[in-house]
Amino acid sequence: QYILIVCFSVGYSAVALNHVIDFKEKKQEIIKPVSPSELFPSLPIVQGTSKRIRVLTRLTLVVSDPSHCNLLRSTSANIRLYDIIAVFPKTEKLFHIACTTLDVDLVCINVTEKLPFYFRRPPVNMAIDRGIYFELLYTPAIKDSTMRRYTISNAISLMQICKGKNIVISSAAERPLELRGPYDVANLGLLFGLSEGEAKAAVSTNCRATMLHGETRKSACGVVYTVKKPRKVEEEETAVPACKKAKTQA
Amino acid sequence: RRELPDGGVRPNAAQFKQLVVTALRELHGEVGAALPVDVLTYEEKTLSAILRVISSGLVKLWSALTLLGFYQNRRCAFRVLQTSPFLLALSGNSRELVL
Repeated sequence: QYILIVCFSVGYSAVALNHVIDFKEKKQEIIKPVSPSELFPSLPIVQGTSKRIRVLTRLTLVVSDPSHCNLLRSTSANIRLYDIIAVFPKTEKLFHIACTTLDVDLVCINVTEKLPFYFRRPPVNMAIDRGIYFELLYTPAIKDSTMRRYTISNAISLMQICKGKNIVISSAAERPLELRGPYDVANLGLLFGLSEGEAKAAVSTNCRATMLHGETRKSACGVVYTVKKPRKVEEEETAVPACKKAKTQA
Repeated sequence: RRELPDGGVRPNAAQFKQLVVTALRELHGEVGAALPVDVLTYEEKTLSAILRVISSGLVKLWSALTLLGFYQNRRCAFRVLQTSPFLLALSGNSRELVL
């Protein structure tokens, strides 16, 4: 995984992107409260826009059972060290729970096999209201043609329900050659049925909003622990919409 | 302009065109493979090329190239460097334009 970071930085600096400045590192764990990932001692490499790449940590929980969701509450000492939390529900009930009550930033949509459940509009709308984003992976589409079909069909069904809002497209690349530049990925969004503006947003502004959502989630946890800091929470929360506004204006 | 970082095999111009058409066929079928694509230039040293396509076919071509994974059982990746309707614009990087 260390090699990945180096390869990613090399690849993206070659593309010289302006939109996706931050980068996510995915650490997958299945139902184990693991000690949080050591922040990689990687060198932040200067890009074409003279900004450094940010490497964030992210945790993905593959849930197939409602009891797994308790992990989110119990081992919060570990979880607080991750910037972004994503959940990968496997049943319809869990999808509903994840959209409505779970404290996550992203909901992963499975692209590698036929979805065992159909999306329904109420939980999707509630997730959009709460600021939770749906994530689609595009790397299986590069590897295998059957997975390509499933990716596209699942993505299109998701689009029909959520009308293209709150979508993030990301890659689960395991090799540097499986990575694609940001404009290529935005073009893939067009394939999935997004409009052009939405497709670009799926790569840039929605990702940034997810990061900010993770940060607010972190600071809210801070309030629970130390009662002395209500002002800090207010500052954070007012800082967040200001950041978002600045981003959309810029 | 497209750049093709490869594992070690270097296609020549005809093979490159075949690769592009194969990618289109895999994603968009026979209709996609019938899309008229021209390879304007091809440099074997850097494995980069300039392609021309009708504007309505840009999305198809671009998505087909993005999703191509294998060339002769080796992993490959297309990297699209620039797209523009004018050939002259390809010579400069409009992002770093200082007015």
